[in-house]
Amino acid sequence: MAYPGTATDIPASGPTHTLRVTFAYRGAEIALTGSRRVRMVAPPPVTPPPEKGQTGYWFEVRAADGTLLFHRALHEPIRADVEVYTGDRRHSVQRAPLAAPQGEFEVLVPDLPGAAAFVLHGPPADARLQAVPSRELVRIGFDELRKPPPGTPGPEQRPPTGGGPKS
Amino acid sequence: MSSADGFIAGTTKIVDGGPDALRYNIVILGDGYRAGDMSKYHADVQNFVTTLETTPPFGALWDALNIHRVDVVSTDSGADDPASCGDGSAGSGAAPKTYFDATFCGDGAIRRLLTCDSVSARNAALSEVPEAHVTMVIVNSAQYGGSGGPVATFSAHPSAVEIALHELGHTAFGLADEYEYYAGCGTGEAGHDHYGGGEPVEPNVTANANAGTIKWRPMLSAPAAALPTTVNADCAQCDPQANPRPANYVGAYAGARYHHCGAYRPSYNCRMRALNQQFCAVCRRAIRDTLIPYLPAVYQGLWWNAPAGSESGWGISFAHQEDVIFATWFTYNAAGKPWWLIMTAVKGAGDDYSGTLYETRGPAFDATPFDPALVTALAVGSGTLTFTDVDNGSFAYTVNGISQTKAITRQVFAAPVPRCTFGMESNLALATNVQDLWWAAPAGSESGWGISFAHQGDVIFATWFTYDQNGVPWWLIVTATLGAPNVYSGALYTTTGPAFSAVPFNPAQVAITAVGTATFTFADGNHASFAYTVNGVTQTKQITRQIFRPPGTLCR
Repeated sequence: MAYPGTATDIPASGPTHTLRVTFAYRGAEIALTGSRRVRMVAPPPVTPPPEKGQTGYWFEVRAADGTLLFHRALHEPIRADVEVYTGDRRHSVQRAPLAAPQGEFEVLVPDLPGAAAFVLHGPPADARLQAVPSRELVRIGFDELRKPPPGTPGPEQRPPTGGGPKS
Repeated sequence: MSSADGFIAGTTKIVDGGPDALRYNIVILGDGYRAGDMSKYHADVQNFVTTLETTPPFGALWDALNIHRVDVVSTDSGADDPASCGDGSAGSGAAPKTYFDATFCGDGAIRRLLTCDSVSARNAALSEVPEAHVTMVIVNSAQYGGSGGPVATFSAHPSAVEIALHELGHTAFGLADEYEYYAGCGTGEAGHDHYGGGEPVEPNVTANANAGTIKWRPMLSAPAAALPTTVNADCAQCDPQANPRPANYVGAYAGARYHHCGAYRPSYNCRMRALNQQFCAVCRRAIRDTLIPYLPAVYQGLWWNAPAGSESGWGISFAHQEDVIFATWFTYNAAGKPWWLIMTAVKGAGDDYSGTLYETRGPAFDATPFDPALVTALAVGSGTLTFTDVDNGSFAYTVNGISQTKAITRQVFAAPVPRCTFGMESNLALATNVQDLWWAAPAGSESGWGISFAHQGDVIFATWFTYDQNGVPWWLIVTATLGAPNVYSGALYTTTGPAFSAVPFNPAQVAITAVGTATFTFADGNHASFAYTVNGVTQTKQITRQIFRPPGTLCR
C-alpha cells in the first residue's frame, strides 16, 4: 500500500541481470572459460525464433521443459575468416579465410527466471564457411553459468533467489 | 601487451544517457597514443562519436547509449607495421610498444587487417565498465585499416570510422554482410555462385523471396510487387546491373551473404554491403529494435483523456522512477465530489504498469500538526497503464466493481514540454524543472498528502491531493505562473463533475470554484515553500520531492 508519503508496497527490483558468458575456441573445440553475473540489460531478440534448418549462429535460453525463453542471432562469433577492407569504393569489403581459427567470444545472456539451459547453435566446424544448417554446438546448464567465479564472491555473482531451477 | 607498454589513465563517460545498468554501453579504448597524444586521442574518439550520432538511426536513439572513453597511454606511438606482408605490400617495419599491440597485417597476409590483442582490450574495457556491451579500439595511425570480431579495431585514418560502423553492425546488432561475393567481384571465386542453404538467421539477409512471407515483409516499399526485385542473369559472377528502383527501396535484391544468387538483401545498397553507405531500412530497424529497451521511457507528468480536452475536468499524474509509476488519479465520486485515488504501478513484461488503486482518508489539509498515523487507506480496485509511446497510452481500471478503459495522453499547456529521465541526476536540487510529485519536508513528515507539479515553460500546473474538514479526499488545482525568479503563484480552485464512471463524461458539467491562492517559492530544484490561503485559512508548508527510487527522475 502506498499513498503520497509512503511507498511501502514498492518492491525491491532493478535492471535485469545478465550473464556475461565467455568461450574460447580452437578448431572444432569450444570451451566455456567464464561466466559473470552483471546488473545490466542484455540485448533483446530482433528476429523470429529460429527454426530447424536455418543457417548462422544464434543462442537460446530454454526452460527445464524445453520451452524457448529467449533467443538472439549472433554474427559469426567463431571466426573462420576475416573481413578485409579494399580501396575499391563499390566493393569496399571482402573476406579472406583464416588458416587456423582460434579465439574467444562473449555472449550476453539474460538471467531469466526459469532459465535452465543455454544453447549455442552454429555451423559444424568443418563447414563454417558453407551454407549448411546450423546445429547445437554448446549446451550448458544455468546452474553452472550462475556459479560465482572462484575467489570472487559478491552480490552481483550470486544466483537469484526464487529464480530458475537449482541443480 | 605488458604493463611496460603503457597504462590506463582513467575513464570518462562522454555520452551519458543514464545509469550503466540501464543503457547500452559502448566502450572505446585507444592504442598507440602516448601521454602527449591524449588530446589527439580525445579528438579521434569525438570524431567517431559525432559520426555515430549523425548516422541514422543512432541520433534518434541517442538517449539509449552510454559511451565511455578509456584513456589508455602507450609507451610508444602508432602501430606495428611489418616490413613485409603476405599480400606483397611493404610496411615501415615500425614496432612501437603499445598497450594492446595493435598491428597491421594482423594475419600475416593482408596489410589493411589492423588487429590488436582483443582479449586484453576486452578485459581492460570490462575492468573499467563492467556493463560494457561492445568494445572498440582506435589505433593511432594515419594508415587505413581495421578489423572486426569481438573487439572492433580501426585506425585514426579519416575513412576508417566507416570500418567501425560496419563492424558495429556485426558485433552489436548481429547484422550479416550483404555483399554478394566472398573474395571480391571478378576474382573467379568458386563456391559462391548460388546460396543453397536454409534461411539465414540474421535479420538483413534471406533465402526467401516470397513477398508474402519474406521476413522484412512489413517494410517492403511495394508489398504487392513481385519479388525478387532483381535477378542476377549470370550467377557465376556479381550482378552488374544498376538499381532499377529508387534509392532506399526495400524489396529483395539478388546477391547477399557472399553469394551471387540465391540469397537476397533488402536494399540495393547498405553499409553492410559497402562502406560509405547508410544503413538500409531493415538494418536500421534491427538497430532500433535492439536499442529500444535501453531508452529511458519516462512518463512522468500530467495526463488526461485522449483526444486532448475531450474529458476536461479529470486527470492523472504520474511520478515515474525507474520501473515504478506512482499514479494519482483526480476525478469525482458517485456524488460528483472531488475524489482522488492512488496506485503504485509496477512495470510488467511490456510497457505496462499495474497496481492496486487505493482511496485514502486523513487529517484535514489545515490540521496542525498533520499526523500521518491518522491516514488510512482502502483498496477500491486495480489499474493498468499501457503506453504506446512517451505521450500516449491507456488507463484500464476496475473501481468498486466498475471496469473501464480510458485512452490517455500527456496534457500540454505551455512550451516547452520537458522530457524526463530517470537516474540522470543524483542531486535534484540542481534541477531547473520541478515536474514531479512533492510532499511535505522533511520527507515522510506528513505522509498522506502530496502535490503534483506539471512544469512546462514558465507555468506550473499543480494538483494538490489532500483532505477536507471531514477527512475525505479533496483535490485542488492551481495554474501557477512565474511572477518573480523562482516564485510561481495563482488562484486555487476546487471542482465538481460527473462521476468517474460516467459515460459519456461531459466536461460541460464540470463546475469550478475559486477557494483561494497558492504561491510556490523554490529555494532550489528540490526544496520549496508552499504558501496557500484556502477558504480563509492561511498556511505555509515546506515541501520536497518524493523519491521512492533513488536518485529520482529529472525533467528538463
